[in-house]
Amino acid sequence: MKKITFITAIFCIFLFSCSKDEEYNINNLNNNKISILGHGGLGVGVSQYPLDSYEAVEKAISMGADGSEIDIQISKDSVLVCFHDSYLEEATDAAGEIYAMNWTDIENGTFKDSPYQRYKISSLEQIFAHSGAGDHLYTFDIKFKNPDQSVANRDIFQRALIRLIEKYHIEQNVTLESPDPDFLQSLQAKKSGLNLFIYDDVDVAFNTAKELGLKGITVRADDISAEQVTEAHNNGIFVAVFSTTRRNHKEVIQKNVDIIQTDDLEDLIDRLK
Amino acid sequence: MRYKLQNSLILQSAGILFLLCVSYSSLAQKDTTTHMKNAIYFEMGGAGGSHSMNYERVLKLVPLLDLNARVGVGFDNLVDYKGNLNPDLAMPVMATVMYGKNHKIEGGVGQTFSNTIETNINTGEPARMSNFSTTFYIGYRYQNPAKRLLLRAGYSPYIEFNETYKHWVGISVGFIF
Repeated sequence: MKKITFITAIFCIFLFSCSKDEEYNINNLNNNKISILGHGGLGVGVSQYPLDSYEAVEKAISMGADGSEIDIQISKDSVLVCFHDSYLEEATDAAGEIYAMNWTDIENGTFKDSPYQRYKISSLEQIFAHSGAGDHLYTFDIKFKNPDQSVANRDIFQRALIRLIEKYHIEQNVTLESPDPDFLQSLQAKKSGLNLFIYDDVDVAFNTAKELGLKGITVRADDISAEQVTEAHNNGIFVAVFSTTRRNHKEVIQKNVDIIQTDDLEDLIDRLK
Repeated sequence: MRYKLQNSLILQSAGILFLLCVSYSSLAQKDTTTHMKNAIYFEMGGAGGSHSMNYERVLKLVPLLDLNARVGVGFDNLVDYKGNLNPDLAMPVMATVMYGKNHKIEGGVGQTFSNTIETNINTGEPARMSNFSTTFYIGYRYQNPAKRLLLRAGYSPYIEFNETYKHWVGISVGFIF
């Protein structure tokens, strides 16, 4: 009797682990498919590898994502660093702000929370030198955190981005997003043909994208309606969203967005691939 | 419509629980009052890292006082960041002393050998690193020879790579035979 009970219990666990595939009818500007990007690699929250690390980006791609969103800052000596927070000590055993430090002072910093202590901060050069771009897609979330927002400092950041993009021939693989319309506008003037996205509140982002002729907008998934996505598409504006998990994946997909930066890769890949 | 299985971690944990329960229920049918010299248990946390399977050999010293020698193996992150089967391994070895009849207090010390994946910064490829960590344990143990059930819960700190002290806990379920 006991054996029958245990076997039945295990069978029920297997049964409830099964998921049924949804059928989605996608209609958007992205050839009617939704690009799946890991948010900072594997998403914000508990994951196998630290946010924006080389390992997280590689893992996302090996899981079947189309690519990854990566937060980009620039060091004092013009190295593009993949890191989200303003202060290194928020997540690592190093201390300071990236814009005020040289790469040699940053590169040996390791993430401090378990189970991330084996992993180091990555530069964008390391990610592309080791993995290459292939057919994968990337969104560079530009975090211009230097309090000195002068044109000179902005130009240094932009030239570093353009150098890397040209070095690896990833003009068509990369989307650059920023909340700063001036930054995007001057980037556009330096190199045409880049995929530039503004991120802000939906209405502000939409108007800015229209005014500056940007490729798209990046907004929080729950803040945009299906009607607003349609209006953006009618104006030739792509829509990328973030802050998505299995809680809202179905609803977000049904809005027909073009790119999803997800915090729950496994679920989104199951749904769309 | 297609149906797919999701989350191999559920499968892994369910499989381990299933094997333990089936083994336990079959062994429980035997009737003996002899001293149980062996134990097998699954531990969440503890000296094996995130989880491990362990075997113990028990040596009765004096009434109510036993000495245990334990060896185990734990797997974590079965697949590396390149998507290849490349698990992180941990092998705890520990000696503990227990005092009590069915309800016991247990304490011990040991070493855990770990062989884990890290990134070769020159190539970006996964590389294996081996380390030792010193482990400690103090906790509660319940074992009933009539039912063959074994339960453990305790404070299980370790000195990671014999450099940094870390707090940790462990909970175990298994059987004695």
